Amino acid sequence: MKTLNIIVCLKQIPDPEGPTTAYGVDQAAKEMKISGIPPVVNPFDENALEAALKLKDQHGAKVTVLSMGEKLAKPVLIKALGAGADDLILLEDTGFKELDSKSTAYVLACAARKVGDYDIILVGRQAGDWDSGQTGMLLAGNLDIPAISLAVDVKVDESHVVVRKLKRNGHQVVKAPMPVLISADSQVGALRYPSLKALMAAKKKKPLTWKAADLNLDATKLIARNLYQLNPPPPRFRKCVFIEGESLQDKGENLAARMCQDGIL
Amino acid sequence: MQPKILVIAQTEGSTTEAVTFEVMMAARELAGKTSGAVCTAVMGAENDGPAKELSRFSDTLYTLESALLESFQSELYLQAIKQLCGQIEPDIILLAHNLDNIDLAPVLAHALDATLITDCIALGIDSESGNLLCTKEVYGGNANAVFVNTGKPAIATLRPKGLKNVELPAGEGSIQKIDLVLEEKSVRVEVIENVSSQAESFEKADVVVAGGRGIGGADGVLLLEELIQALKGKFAEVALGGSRPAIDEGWMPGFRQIGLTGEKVNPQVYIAVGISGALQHMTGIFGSKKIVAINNNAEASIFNYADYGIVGDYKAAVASFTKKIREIS
Repeated sequence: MKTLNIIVCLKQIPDPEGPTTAYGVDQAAKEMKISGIPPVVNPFDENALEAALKLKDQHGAKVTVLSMGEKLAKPVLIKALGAGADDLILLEDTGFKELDSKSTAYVLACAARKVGDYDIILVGRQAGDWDSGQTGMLLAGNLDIPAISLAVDVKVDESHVVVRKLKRNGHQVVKAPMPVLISADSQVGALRYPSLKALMAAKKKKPLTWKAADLNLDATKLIARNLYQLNPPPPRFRKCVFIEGESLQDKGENLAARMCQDGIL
Repeated sequence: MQPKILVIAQTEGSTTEAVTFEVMMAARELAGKTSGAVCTAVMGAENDGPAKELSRFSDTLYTLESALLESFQSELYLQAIKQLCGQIEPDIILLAHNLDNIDLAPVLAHALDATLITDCIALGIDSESGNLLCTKEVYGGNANAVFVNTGKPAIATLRPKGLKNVELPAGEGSIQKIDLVLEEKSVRVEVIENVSSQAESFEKADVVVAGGRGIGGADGVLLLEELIQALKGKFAEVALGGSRPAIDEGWMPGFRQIGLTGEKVNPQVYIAVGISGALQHMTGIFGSKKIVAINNNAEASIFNYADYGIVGDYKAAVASFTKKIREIS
């Protein structure tokens, strides 16, 4: 069997676990104003990278990471190399700013073709910023390869992948020929910690950067996200009825009694 | 413009899933604003039951019947819907946002060269352009984005609200059978095994009992399980969930994770035990009708979002809460 070539798409986003106060909305500009929190790799994309690295552990593989965006923070992406990815390619161009899902998938497809000879493309099931959850499937459509969503376990069997995936009311095991695109769920597993030595080595590697002009793409197909409005979230605070009692036992009983009285239980 | 709005019904065998009525209500509201028509597509091996039921609320109901559509396979479902769309050319297509349609909707969007906005919490029509407006939560619930969907067709998946009784105006829609030519041999993703498990689904849960870092270990999960058993005397479906720390610590399997990097839920009652209330978790539960929080930290932000709260160690409180529920059952 030839060495597996795996492409993993990693998106850099503001830390979704950052405090609410870090996130502001500029309604006039229809832009997020985010301050004081570091960029991170989208958590689901970390799961995708972990799935790739597990395959590398088992079968040996070359793992190429593609990351698209503007002003990419290299330290974040170095984490991918430290964890075990072989190559890092940044797709950086002012023309790639705020693209819609369809255009993003198109750019990634052009980049995947340029990488060439891929067997598996792994992506996260959705991103913690725009939460669109469709770019991966659209990428597969662009490349005309089969797509498997919501993977929780990925195995390679000769020329096929065998994937356990989530479905409504359960899960299923599916099989598809390579090349194939797989979107990873968090159940694939958390990204391994890079060793200090691997991180040091990763820092010495120089990522490749491809601009729009390097990708043989049709710039008229790049469309920005079509926003009508961007609004602050609606107020979510509720008035909490604190249940009192002499002891915690009393409080527990009083909670049931109160919920019963309010017609909830 | 009088748009033709197509609803893809969600059925399970001969029953119509409740979420279908929510999507039909959203379609009906759009149709009301635009003098449009609501069409519904039912897919399956044997559709008579759902087709008859749903035709009452549709201007036209299309039944797409084939043994190959008995259980979900996105490529075959895509073939079927594509053939229907070729015949009726809908302007808007609406689906429920769930694990199957996370798969199907983007593939459909690609095949029809349409535009898709996923996991919408509200829909509207731009009065000037007539375009579909799709509202969704972004940045982990830190903003709501309203997208203009100029796709032809415009596709949206709707986040279920968990509504039990949706009132729809009833009429007498016609039922049309669509002749399908499905090619099984062109299917590239082969299903080897289907495992049904209600335990892995939050979709139908009336109550979700969830534990966080504060439950301290897998032992805590046993206490929550007892509460769940007691609640099952009152509610049809009660599910166990967890916040990210409880999953990361290995106290619960990954499919139970609720929040930004897990599932989003919308039960009648959400009981958060030992969960501090980080937005990362809360964004998965804002749809809950009532939120109950039990936490030993009176300052925990979960109490800002809760309807009922107990401050204190959860063990004693949960045990007596459970006991009292059994008594009043």
